[in-house]
Amino acid sequence: MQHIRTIKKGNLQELEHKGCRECQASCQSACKTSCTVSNQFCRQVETKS
Amino acid sequence: MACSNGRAGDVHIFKYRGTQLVYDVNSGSLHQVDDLAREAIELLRDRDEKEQAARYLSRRYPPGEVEEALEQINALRKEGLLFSPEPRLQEEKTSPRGVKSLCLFISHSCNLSCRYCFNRRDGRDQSLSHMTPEVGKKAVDFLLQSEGGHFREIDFFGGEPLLNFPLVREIVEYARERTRSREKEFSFTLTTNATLLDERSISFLNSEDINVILSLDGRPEVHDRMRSFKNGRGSYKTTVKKIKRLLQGREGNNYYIRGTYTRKNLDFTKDIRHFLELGFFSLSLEPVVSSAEGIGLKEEDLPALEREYDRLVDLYLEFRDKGTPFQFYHFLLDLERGPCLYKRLSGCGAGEDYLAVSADGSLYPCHQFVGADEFYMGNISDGPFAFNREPGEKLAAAAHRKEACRQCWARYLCGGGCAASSYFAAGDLEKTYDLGCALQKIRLERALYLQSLT
Repeated sequence: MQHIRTIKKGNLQELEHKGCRECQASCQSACKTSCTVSNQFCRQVETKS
Repeated sequence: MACSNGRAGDVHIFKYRGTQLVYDVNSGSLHQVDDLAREAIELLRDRDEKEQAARYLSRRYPPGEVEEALEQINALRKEGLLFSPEPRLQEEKTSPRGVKSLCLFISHSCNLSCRYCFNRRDGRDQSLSHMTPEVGKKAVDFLLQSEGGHFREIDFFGGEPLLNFPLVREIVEYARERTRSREKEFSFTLTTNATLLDERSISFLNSEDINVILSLDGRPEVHDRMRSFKNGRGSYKTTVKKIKRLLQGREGNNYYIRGTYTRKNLDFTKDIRHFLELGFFSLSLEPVVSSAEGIGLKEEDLPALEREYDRLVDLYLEFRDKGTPFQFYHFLLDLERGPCLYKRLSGCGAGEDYLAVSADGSLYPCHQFVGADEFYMGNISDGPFAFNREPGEKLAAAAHRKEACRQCWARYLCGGGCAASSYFAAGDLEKTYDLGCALQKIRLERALYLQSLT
């Protein structure tokens, strides 16, 4: 019986070839008070897809 | 491998609308669990002793199922998806790099008189209201000379940047000319109250594919209460008319309707619904940054706000289920392909990746610190290697020292919160703005829940 269902496998432990810092520095929201980095996108991923 | 403190690892366990979820902090993974798995994870989180957990759970559940659940937990652990360890970062990638993004005060003036505006300059020198082409071009050169990477960003900000629209055009054209070789690439965003959009600016913004952030607060009475022209007349009608005209000429979602909610509209889901009725589907709604009486949010509003974000989830699902989903900024979450951990640790990048430039070229960590003398970082004329980095480094260092953040389950989703909120609202860069944190976590739990429905 399945007691745990993995919904999403997070990518935080994938560190190789990461840290390029090409992603958007500021969030799309104007007054950036509620900037959550998790709402943004990885450019490497966007470029590949 | 257990943590050195005898705990298995860092997880956030919560229940929302009957769904039990476990968010693994260090990997960013999300799992749905039944009662047995939840209890097992809670026990192991607090004390990583498998046999002890098994004995305790076997008093409450069939031993065979207990063994199953513990094996499944162990398998996820081995895969690095549950109780994952603190990641080991490469030092050089966590060090500051060149500035890659500038927020330009194209004008400090504005044709509106919004009650909550952070840009009220109350007695500060207004003599240089518009940025000059010289400063604007220096900003482009600054970014081009700045080290590292390929992408650069400019936000046209203010005040109201359309009051000085010719400079927006000049900067874009200059940047395009300087990047013909494609060695660097610029993206542009313009934040505007939309009231001054005309055929000329609309045509330019659309043909140049400039991202636009359009300030609209919601229902007419909500918007007009806060956002009036200088003569006191509400700006809703003009704003909506202009936004519709702009969006007619652009395809896709490279815009955000960006609303601000205050104490006056704690029922803000009605404002989101209003946006949808207007045909606007790319939405962002932020809590007001203000302590003004009757406007600023208070701790006692949290229960009402929590319920309101629940209503927003209902609305989100209503539209999704009828085939017309809308985008809500704070519900955007890509756990599998989102920004890497280095990005998470850099937060919004204020003071390091990202600076604000006032009309006279003065540099500050972000738009909210403009005019705050102790955060002055020099002038754009200093260039990207000689400006004063110290205030920015102070910001980043303080963010990493925030005690509340170190243990917070949301730390890699939030990125440390807003330095300006810490400084202006909480009184210290190393303090957290508790109300902001609470709202952040409310939104994140709902965003995680929505992931479980995909």
